Amino acid sequence: MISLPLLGIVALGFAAAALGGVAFGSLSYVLSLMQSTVFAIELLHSLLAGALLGVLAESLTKVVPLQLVIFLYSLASSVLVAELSRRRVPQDVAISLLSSLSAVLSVTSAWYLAYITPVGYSRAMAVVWGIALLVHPNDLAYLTLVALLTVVSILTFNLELKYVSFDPDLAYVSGLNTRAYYYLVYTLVALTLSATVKIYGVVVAGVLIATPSVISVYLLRSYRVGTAIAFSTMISLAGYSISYLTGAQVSLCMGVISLALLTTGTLIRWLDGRRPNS
Amino acid sequence: MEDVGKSVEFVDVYASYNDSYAAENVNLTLTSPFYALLLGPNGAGKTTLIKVLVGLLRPLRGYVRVYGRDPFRDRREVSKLLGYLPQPGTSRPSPFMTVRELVAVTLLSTRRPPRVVGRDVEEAVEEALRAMEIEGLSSRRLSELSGGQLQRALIASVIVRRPKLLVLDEPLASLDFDAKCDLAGTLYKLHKEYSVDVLMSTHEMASCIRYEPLVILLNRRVVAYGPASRVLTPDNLRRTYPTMSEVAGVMILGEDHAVRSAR
Repeated sequence: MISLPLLGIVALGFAAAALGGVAFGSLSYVLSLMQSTVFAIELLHSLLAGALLGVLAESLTKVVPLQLVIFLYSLASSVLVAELSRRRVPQDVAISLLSSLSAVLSVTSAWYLAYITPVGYSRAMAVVWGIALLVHPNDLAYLTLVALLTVVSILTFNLELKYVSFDPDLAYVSGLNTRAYYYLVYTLVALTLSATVKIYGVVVAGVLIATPSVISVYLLRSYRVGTAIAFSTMISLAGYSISYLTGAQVSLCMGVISLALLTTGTLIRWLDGRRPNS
Repeated sequence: MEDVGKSVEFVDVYASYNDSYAAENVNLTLTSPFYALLLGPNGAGKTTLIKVLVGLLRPLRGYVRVYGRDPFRDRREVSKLLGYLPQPGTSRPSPFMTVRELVAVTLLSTRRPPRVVGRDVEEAVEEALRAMEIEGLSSRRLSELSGGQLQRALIASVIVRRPKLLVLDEPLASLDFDAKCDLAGTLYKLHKEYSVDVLMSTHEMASCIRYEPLVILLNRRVVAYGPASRVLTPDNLRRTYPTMSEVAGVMILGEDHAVRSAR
């Protein structure tokens, strides 16, 4: 028999899993659309650095929220890469620069956290792996707002984002403010990461922001935002359910499901390619 | 569009991507109506001039006017006046976008958000696809198109806005000869029937020459410009293409450039 308080905790967890799935699904669609592999690499580094800096700031000040630091650091690093690239610094150089900076900040923050407080390091690790079984109602409210904003923005500007991804110069000459669209994506990514990292953890946030759309393209040849959202929500909810039932880490369950779907897709495509007249 | 100037002007334009000038001291006035070819060897500054004209690259010196408008200061107005086609291969033909969406979003780009595909847009898209004879491809994804089909889809996306000026950067590249002639003919038809001014850079002229284009010979500077019959002289060609071959009274510039030499 599940007690009422426990039921509330579980309901909060499932709601967070569903909302996170929606936000990640729509963003993974945009990143797939923009073929931003290098951006995703930079994103993972900045996500880790932002999260560890956030825990450090929270521990030191007691007032600066983790979410704010993650949002600001993710946004600042994406904007910095974009602006350096605009100023004729090769994109791979800009990304390497920011990734190195993020790596230094991650290690330094983790070391300092362990140094200043006995529980600092374990708090940092909780953010890396996620604490999805314990969702605070405030975190859920923030996630709801972010998920709504992300989906509405992407559905509203879907056509423009497709055009900017197809050819930014052409879109600019046609009259679109291409820079504004890139910044919109960076902002949505930073917001989503800030709203989900505490719940999902850095590891799974990195996986979920990239894979759902890839899986929907690979398995179903679907290029729709709805399919990416469906896959993302499914991975998220299934991961949460398995974690709840087995007691395994949520990030581990979600990672395993993503891996299984991608492996199945690869296998199907490979077998399809081996068939004569395929 | 009210109060539109009559010409496209380059005044003392110097432009560069790196440290050295890709185009220097370019002075040129193209008075409407025109069907013009920008010819020159690789590195002559054709793409640079086009990027300056459409507002993608600021000139280091001098200025450009598109029917009296500055492409940087008056970007919104200029974007309504011109249609631009980048060099083939620079776009990423995405599986996420269909031909119909490409044409629709190009039309909607000059409007303010939210950009909704309404009935007027649908009709304009249909008409543009018909004009380019690709109605059957409207639901096709861009990644599924051949090079020639993609060029047609891009041109449909440009003409749907009924621009005053079409600027095309090597639109004939990577097409076979029939497709080149076909496309050059279509562009000429647009010029004649819809009074669209056309400026295209190209390495080949055989497919366009029957339309008696205005020719601009460029090698960082404008070597000569005027009607093809007057500009394409052995002397001008030698100055434009210093490394070309001359054998037995014939100058050979490339696969389809052969001009009877004066010698």
